[in-house]
Amino acid sequence: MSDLNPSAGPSPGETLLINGVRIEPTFAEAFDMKATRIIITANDEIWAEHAASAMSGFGTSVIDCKLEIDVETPLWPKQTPDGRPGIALLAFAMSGDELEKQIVRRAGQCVLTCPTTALFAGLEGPQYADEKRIGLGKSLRYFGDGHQISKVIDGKRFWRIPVMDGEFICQHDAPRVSGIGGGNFLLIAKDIDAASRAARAAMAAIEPIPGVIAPFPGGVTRSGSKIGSKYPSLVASTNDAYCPTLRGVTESKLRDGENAVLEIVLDGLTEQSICAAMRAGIQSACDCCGEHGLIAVSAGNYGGKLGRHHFHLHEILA
Amino acid sequence: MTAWHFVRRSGPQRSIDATAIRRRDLAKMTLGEIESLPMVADGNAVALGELFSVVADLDASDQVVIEGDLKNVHGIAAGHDQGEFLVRGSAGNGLGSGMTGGSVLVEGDVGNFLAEPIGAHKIGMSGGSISVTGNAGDYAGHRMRRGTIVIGGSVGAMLAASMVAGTIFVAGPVGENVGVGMKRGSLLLANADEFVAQADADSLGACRRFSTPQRFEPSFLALYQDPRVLNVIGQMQRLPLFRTRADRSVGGQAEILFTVSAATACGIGYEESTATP
Repeated sequence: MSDLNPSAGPSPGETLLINGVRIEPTFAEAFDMKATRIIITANDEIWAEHAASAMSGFGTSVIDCKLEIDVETPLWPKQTPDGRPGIALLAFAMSGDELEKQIVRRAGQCVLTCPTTALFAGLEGPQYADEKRIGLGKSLRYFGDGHQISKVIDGKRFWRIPVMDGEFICQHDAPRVSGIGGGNFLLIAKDIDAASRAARAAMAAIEPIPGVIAPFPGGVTRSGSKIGSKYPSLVASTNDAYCPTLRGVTESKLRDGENAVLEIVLDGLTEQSICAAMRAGIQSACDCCGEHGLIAVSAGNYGGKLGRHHFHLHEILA
Repeated sequence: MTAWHFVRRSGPQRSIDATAIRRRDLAKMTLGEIESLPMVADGNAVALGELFSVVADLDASDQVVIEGDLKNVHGIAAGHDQGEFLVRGSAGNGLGSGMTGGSVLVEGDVGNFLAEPIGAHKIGMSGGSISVTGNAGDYAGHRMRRGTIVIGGSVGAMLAASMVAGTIFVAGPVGENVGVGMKRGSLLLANADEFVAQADADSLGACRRFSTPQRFEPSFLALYQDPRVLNVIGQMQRLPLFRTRADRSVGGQAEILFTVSAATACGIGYEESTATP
């Protein structure tokens, strides 16, 4: 990590073990992204979940989805702007323009369409007053075909868009902030069952942590990637160094007996949130599966050339 | 930041124009300059210091407080732009005229032309909020363009006439000709019995000006946090809530959300069927 004390944790070459699991002396390399938090509310949790599920679908990686988005946390009615059950989502993109474009498209198809829902900015407060903003209702209001109504309440603009169940309430815009994408760790196990258990234990520990999401299915991906490909049109291709079936064909980082690897990829609003998630996830995986097939924990990086945020495993777990 | 405290001196003046008391101008003046600020009383130029005693203190935010017998003081908080303007006592006409931002709180009644256009301007209040704990006179919210007005008591005739946008909450009864020439904006009436009675008395005119009232669930009201607004909303939520669009005679798409007493509510839409042959 860029601003952590490099002397923290074991010295180079020293082995760090947690419950018998080898923690590799390496780091996860993450990069700057643009981020926002949105809140979906509805008359009941079921509609809110449907909308959030649709909104965060096909939002796993910017490589092809252009947006990484997932549920951050469910919200109690007292935590939402309109006092109804809600869900907070975090979204990350490579640029502010792309973030706005993708959020508006998804909100128009997944939230506007969902019965009883409303859409609000989730990063409010004086600390965000000077941040640039992305449009929400600013664009969606035109669905009202001239019958939309604007309301400025406590300094915030909302749009009331007439729809067939009443009105869709949508905040005019939402702040966007600098976020971090690509925090990660690799769970290396003797087989896929052990890797699955470790990954689920890690995600159970990560889910309550605020300010961070793991956008892949269940928070986990098996298709970790390296940059580039033998095919010029592909920007990323399989991470052959961690593919057990390619041992002996390409240069492998897997040792004997390491037969399955799963990766947890994390996007966060701050370095601290990603650190907290990596620490909790790795610790939980090791505690749960250290003596049940989880052999090592590593992390993906590109030699430090791609992103300026470096999350060193030994420092995080020290 | 400064808090200015004006206390009305007793005097024979019958009408005082207070539009010269503006926060943004006060912020550039010394106390002496403020006291010698020219005002108009009964058509004559008078130094502010003869009409009001003034105290200025450093404060965390800009605040103007004016108090005393203010019923014949007109144009209070005209053109107010930011910070709080607190009026202790009942005020005269044209309070908050041409206001663009900040908040005005009146602990008492106000006269006519609340938040009207200032001078010859075509647009009235265009931002901020006004809260009146008592009653308001005629032409409240005239040509209002943006912002929020909350009236805790009753209002006179021509409420929201030619309103362009914004939101007005009224807790008490309303006078004649509500929403004449309204284009857009929202009017929320917690006690609309008289409004309905007037519409019933002139049903032909009402049909031209208002759409048929419909039951309405205003989910956006849940977004308000201001306790004065919540007080009005609380009254409205105890009764069936209806919505009509106005002023249809000028193609307006404004909305009037209103609640009426149970007896009046039962009458809406049933009058013809229950009328004696």
